[in-house]
Amino acid sequence: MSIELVTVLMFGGLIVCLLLGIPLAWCLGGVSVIVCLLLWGPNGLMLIVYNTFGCMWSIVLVAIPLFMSMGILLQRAGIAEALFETIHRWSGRLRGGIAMGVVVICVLFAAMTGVSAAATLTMGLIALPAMLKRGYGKSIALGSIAGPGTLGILIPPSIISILLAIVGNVSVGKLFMAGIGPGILLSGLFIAYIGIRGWINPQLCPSHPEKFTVKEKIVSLKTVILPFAIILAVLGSIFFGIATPTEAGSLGVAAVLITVAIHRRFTKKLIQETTYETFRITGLTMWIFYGAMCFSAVYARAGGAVFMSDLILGLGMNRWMILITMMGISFLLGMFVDPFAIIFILAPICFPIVKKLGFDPVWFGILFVINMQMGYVTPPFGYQLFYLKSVAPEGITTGDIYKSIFPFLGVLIIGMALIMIFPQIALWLPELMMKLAD
Amino acid sequence: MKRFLKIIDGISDWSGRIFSYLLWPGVAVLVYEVIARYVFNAPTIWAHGMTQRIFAVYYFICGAYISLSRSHITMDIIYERFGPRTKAILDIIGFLFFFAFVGVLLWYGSRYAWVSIMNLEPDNTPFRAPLYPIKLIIPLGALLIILQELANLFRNIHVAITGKPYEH
Repeated sequence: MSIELVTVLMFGGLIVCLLLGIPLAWCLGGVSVIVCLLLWGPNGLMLIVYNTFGCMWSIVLVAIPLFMSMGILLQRAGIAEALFETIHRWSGRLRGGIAMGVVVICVLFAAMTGVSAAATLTMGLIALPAMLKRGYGKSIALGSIAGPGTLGILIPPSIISILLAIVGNVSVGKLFMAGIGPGILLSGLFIAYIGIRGWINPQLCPSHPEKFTVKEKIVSLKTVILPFAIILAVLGSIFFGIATPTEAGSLGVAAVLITVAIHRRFTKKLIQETTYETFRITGLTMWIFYGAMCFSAVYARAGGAVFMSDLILGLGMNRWMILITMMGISFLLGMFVDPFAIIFILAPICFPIVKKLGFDPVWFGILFVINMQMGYVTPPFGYQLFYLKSVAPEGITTGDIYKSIFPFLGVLIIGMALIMIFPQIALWLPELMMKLAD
Repeated sequence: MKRFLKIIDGISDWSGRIFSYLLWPGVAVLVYEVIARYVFNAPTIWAHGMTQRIFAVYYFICGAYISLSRSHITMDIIYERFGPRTKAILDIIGFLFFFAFVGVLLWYGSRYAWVSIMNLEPDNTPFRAPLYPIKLIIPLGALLIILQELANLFRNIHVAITGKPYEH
């Protein structure tokens, strides 16, 4: 069978199966097995087992349940409520202060957990009603939760970054560190946008009249100490080479458990729910990963990676054009397809090409993740929008949420362009980390 | 038949609930490793291998638990628009892909595990702890998930034929 036919069969088969609503894990695994049989007969099937075992045995992937459980614990332990109270007391007279505060909380959550859901769901429950009550415009109130909520997948620790690093064959630690600069840049841009909107159109973001004494403000700061300690335990230990990302995950879980205990929220129910929920989400991710690794192993063995890179490099396009085209494809897919699926379908093809073109794969990884962020918020199928809708108070329609997201999407695009033009925004930290390690 | 399906559901549910607690020993082992390395200046040679074993079992047993709640990640843009009967038929087609994949894991995984058991295969660390029990998890986990998916298949066939949900 020619490689062209294999390519059509594998990717066409995968897309058709996905559209039929077959679970992603079975689409990937089933298609791999069928193509494997067609190409090499029953003897080729051991490839499937080897690759599955390879994933089971990976110590890097162990980071996934660890960061997952951190997020679930934090979300359920009411840490966000405490943080929100602090933000509320400090934001006082500032126009759009609460919305800006939400961005800050999203960043803190992003740096403590590996997913975007934790920040979005809790902010949707606490901050959204609070903002609407104080007369914030719907577009600012909704957008400032859905947009910055996506920072969870960019700012380390991030599950998406771990998967992308493994599929793209770059270091998880480096990709984590490369997410910090862009994360800060994007959150700055979000805050600036809210500030500008509030300045142009004061009705959209009122300042609120409640006044707090200096003492009340200072006391409220104690809620920030523990999140910072957690972030330091996780990211600090990776940055200074004290622990691998996986070990850092375990330190993070321990730190979160201590935090929960200090906040007196440590209950049997919390532990039980966290245990089951972590198990379920980790299992989902891992079974997709097994299928995906089999899929890319079969495709690589059939000569697919070489074929694809020859095909694309053979077009003779400018390397920046190729890069932008790849970004465009992943953005378009992101509008309809789950980010996990995009990583497993596109990344094994894109990363080798990017390396051949002489771009830094870590930098490309960050651009890819920002693309996934956009996928999370772009209608019609953005997870963030669904999360937010699921917790939004009555009277908020899906249309309101869709409309609110576009300016924030614009901010993401500006941020991505800046990182494309100035790669050092992403790369200075990982380079500094490598220097420190020498 | 109903009782039989209930038993399968029960196995998936309880194996899941029990094995989900492996998370905490996994965390404890890793934290211990970091403390041993920096505080006692004595890194262990077993902690990482232990973690890999714990989580290999953790992920693999999870399959049946997820199939029970039918919460595998799908793209339901089109699927959501169909009636229960068409959905059931699509699920039956999905079973074929599932079975191609996990059936291979059961069958070839058994051979893989068998060779490992016969050689009492150790891992490649200086510790040389046994690896074969972990390889045995592949066919065992595959068997559990196949049982659960068969139970789901039976219910789907019922819906596809009668158009009514299966009574529990």
